[in-house]
This record gives sequence, structure tokens and C-alpha cells, in this order.
Amino acid sequence: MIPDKIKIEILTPGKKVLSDEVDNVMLPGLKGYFGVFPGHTPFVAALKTGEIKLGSEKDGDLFAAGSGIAEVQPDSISVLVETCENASEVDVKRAEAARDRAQSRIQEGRKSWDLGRAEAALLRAINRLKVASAG
Amino acid sequence: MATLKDIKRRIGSVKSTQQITKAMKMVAAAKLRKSQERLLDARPYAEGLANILSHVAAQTQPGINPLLEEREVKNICYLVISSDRGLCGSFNANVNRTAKTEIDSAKESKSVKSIVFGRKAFEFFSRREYEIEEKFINLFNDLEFKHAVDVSRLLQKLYVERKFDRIMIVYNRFKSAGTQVTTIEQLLPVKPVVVEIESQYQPVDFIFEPSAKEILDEIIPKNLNVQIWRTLLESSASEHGARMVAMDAATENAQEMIRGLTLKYNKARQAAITTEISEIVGGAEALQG
Repeated sequence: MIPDKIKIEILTPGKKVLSDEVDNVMLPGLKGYFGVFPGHTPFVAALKTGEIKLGSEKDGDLFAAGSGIAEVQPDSISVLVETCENASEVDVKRAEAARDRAQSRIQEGRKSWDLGRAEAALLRAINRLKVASAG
Repeated sequence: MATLKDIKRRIGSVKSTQQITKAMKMVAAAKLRKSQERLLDARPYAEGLANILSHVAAQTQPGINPLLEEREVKNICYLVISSDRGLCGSFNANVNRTAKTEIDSAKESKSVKSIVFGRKAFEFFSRREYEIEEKFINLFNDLEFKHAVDVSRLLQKLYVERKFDRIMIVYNRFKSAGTQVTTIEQLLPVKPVVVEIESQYQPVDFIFEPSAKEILDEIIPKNLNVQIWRTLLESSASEHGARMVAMDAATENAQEMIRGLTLKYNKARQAAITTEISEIVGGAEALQG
């Protein structure tokens, strides 16, 4: 039987961000956003930096997440991401500072390894700001 | 014989030392609680990741990822995790001695280098002129996940570039506030994990997006990050536990010393009074006679 709710856990290395039951979830897959409803077939997906949106009767919660991985089972989803915060918890000043710092680093254009990190940092900062303004 | 004044001064100095050890014990207890909490908070993520890794690994060929690849071992690296500060009993001595024994025995047939995390391990191995590939010191005060990521990135780079064929880690595992277990584990190559699958659904049914290989490429470095993060937290909690116990013993010893000195002080005082009285009595008797 297909359950009508799906359990979701969002975990980061620092802490458990969320443990809840929802109607559906939207996740930022590497190849684009995808939605998960209860009864989904078992599924493992890599996630990129983006938004996680929970659907429930209440207003859907919005999260800014770093890259990670999600494991989907018919009745549960585990989302393991590097960072994750609720739209209301985003520190806008810090994200703006991080964005500016990353931008100036990219312009300086140092070693390729640093460039990759700066680009990732820039994506994270932009994502946080976007979520904060939407939330 | 020590004069009354001398004994009094010693009592004073032991007392002030005792105050310091007492304060250090309480600070260690507070820090222990904090790092224990962090350790507990980190656990669900680590377990979740290990779980997914076992699902994916069950469906892929070994050798699909460079960090899984076993090679003939010629160069070994030991990652030694100690603390930055002393006054924590045998905490650092244990981990340093264990690492040294391991390194010395490995040295007989292979080339060995070490990476040290924590000032105490750095001092120990650099004083003995061991080859140190990299050092990470003075980070425990504000330990963050990104420090673990830095270490993990370095290890991956060294392994993929074939600078080392095996990377081991030596650290104090946190068992309880009073007990630490010095542990040696293999970090790289990643050993295939076997985790029991508790789910009612068969792992064979998994769909991977993108491919299993790409998922593996994502998960294995992340798993290494988390593993290193966990050992750092374990070591940090162990350090505070060890310090708490050491400072508790020191406070008790100081108490014991104060007791002994007070006894000595009172005896000396009594002796002085007795001498004084007998002198007075002797003087009075001499006058009468």
C-alpha cells in the first residue's frame, strides 16, 4: 500500500537539521530538480547546491542546502548534505560577505584548485541569498 | 627543621595550585560535555552515509573508484591525532608511543612518513626527527568540520598521486569520560564496508541518478571527511575527559599535601609553645631557688 506521507530526515555533519513527515519533497539533483512523493521506488541521487522544498498542508518549508546525497525509500528519504539551513535562519550578511569574497577570489584567478573551491563557495552564497529572499 | 613561617608559605602555595587544578577540572568538564554533544550530533550523518555507501558498494565492482584501489604497500603514512595542550595525564603519551611503535616496526620494510594533528604529536615527532609530511596544529580550540575536510583533501590527493599506498590513523577513541582507547585504523584505501541492511526493501532495487560510479565518487570522499571529523571529535572528547580525571587527581593530591603540611605546622607550633612554657617554668623555678 502506498503511504500518504513520507518521512524525511535532513542530516549535516554538524547536526540533524530536520526530522518530519511531509506530503512531498523537492530536491536539487545534479541534473535538475526532482520531486519525491510517497511510494517512490528506491533511489539514490547526488545533489548539488540548491533549494530543498517540503510540501505539506502548512506552508511548505524552504531550505538552502549544500551539495550532498539523498537516499529515497518508498516511505522515507534521508538527505545528507554538507550544509543546510532553513530560509528563516540564513545569515544574509554572512552570505553576502561570502559571495563578495568568492567573487574577488575568482577574479584574481589563482590556482585551479582554489578556483574550484571559490566557485563552490560562490554558488552556496548565491543559493543562500536566493532562499532567504524567497522564504 | 622548617620554621613555622616556611610551612605556612608552602601551605599557601599548594593551596593556590589546588585552586588552579580545580578550575581546570571544571573547565575540562564543561568542554567535555560540549564535545560529547558534538560527537552525538555528528553520528546520524556518519551512519546515514555509511549506510548509503554500503548500498551502493553492494551493486558496484571494486576498483571503480581510485580510493578503493589496493596497491602493493611501499609507502605508508600515519596520521597521528594528539591534543594541542598538555596537563591531561597520559593522553598524549599513549597516542604518541603507540604511533611511534607502529612507525618503527613499519620502517623496517617500508618507507614511512607521518602527518600530525595537534601540537603535542608535532613536538614529539619533530624532536625525534621523524619525517613529517604535514602538520595541523592549534586547531582544537575552534575545531570545525572544514578542518576535517582539509585533512581529508590532503590525504586523498596524496593517495591518488601514489605518494602513499596506505594511510593509517592513530587516535584516542572516546569510551567514557575516564577511559580512552588508543586506536589504529586504516583510512585509505577505503575498506569495503559491510553494513547490515535493516530496511525491508531489497538494495537490488535501487536506481542511481546519475550512475552508481558517480554516486560512489561523491560518497567516498564525503565518507572520508566524516570519518576524520569523527576521529577529531573522539580525540577532543577524550582529551577533555583525560584532563578532567588528571586534574581531579591533582586536586586530591594537593588536598592530601595540605593535610600533611597542616599537621606538620600544628606539631611545630605545639613544640614551640611547649618549649616556651618549659623555658618560663624553668626560669621561674630558678628565681625561686
